Amino acid sequence: MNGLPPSLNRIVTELSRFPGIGKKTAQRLAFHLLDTSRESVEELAEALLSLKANVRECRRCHHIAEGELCAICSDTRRDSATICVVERVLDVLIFERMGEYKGLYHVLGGVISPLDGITPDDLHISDLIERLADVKEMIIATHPSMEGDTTALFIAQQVQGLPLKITRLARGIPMGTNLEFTNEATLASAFTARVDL
Amino acid sequence: MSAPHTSQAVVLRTIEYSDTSLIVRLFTETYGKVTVMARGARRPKHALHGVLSVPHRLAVDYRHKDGRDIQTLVGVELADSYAALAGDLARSAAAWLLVEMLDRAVQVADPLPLLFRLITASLEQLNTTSGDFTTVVHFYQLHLARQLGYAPQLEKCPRCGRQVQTAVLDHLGGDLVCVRCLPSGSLRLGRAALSYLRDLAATHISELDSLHPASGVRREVDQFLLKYLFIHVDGMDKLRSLKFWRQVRK
Repeated sequence: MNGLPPSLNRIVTELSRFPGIGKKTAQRLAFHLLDTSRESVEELAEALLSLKANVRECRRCHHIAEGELCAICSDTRRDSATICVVERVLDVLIFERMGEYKGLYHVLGGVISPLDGITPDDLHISDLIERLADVKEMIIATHPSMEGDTTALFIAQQVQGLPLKITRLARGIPMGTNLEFTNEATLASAFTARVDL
Repeated sequence: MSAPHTSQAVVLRTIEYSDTSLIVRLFTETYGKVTVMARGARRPKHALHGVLSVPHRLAVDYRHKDGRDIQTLVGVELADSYAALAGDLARSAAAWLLVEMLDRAVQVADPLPLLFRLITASLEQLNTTSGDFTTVVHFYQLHLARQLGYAPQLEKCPRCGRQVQTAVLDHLGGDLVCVRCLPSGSLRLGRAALSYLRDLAATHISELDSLHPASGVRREVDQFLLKYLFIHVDGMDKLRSLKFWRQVRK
């Protein structure tokens, strides 16, 4: 019993389900909605409903799309001979922000995580393999963790023998960091993957 | 009052707690299984970023408070990342399996330093051996059963006392008995499989490369050790990493 009317309590409960939103923030947001005009709230409600109604998974790469194919797969200017394999949809957004990459993507929907019971069958690996016929380079961009490495190795093993170049993102000391503040795991990784000058 | 605790440890499991923190389950040499909170460990520039990963061996320093389920991690130094495992699919699948078996077999705050030696030596061997590493998995499973107090009788039948030539697993009692005492048993171990198990029991882990079981023997022992652990250790039949281990070995 917090003295709030049931409608307000309901919206606080719903908002606090969002990641990173606690009870207090949810209350702040709810009060902000109360102070907002009816039109704005209706617009927000409509945007939420439209999100659920229209946004789906791209049939080809499993990124988010508003039609059968996502904006990246539909873009004929993208280099279809290169595929970047990522764990999640959010990773695509990170690469797109970088602006350097002009190829296509494939979203796996997670990584192999034996301790969580997630095996290759739970990921979009078989349809990745089906897409590789005309691909010249596959960049595996899973996260630098034991799970990410296992997933990368598994994919590389599955496509062995196909005429394509397989690369993995480099790893090591972040730009602008002093060696003194680099932890042992990162330093060991950078040392193992050192490059010729 | 909280007390400082220091120990060697192996990372059994990590769980993302928030955008910046991790909950880490450790098997420590001195205090057994302990869960700690690593605040800030998920921040990209944090000193612990990437260090708290399965199955890294660490020197840990944490604050222990009685009655708390989750202790507070204070400091960590990486002792061994078993780097070669990350470059080999089957070996990393074996490492997942070993670590999960340990996690399921041990209770919270029950110090078992011999088991700590077993897991670290087995991970080290998996990481470095150039030979058949399934012998490392078999060695680990057999010695895990022994350390937990369930060593199978490999010489004499526990029912009749006779020397065992062909053994059968008694699914009800959990013993390995001779075929005369249980002629209807379905999981059988022939002479070669028994001999391989005796070798595993008597060989030092660093000498495992000298064992070369035939593939049929490996399969028999594989099946037996898993079933044996399923019978004796609670929760072992729910191993999640087993499916991937089997998939990779195919």
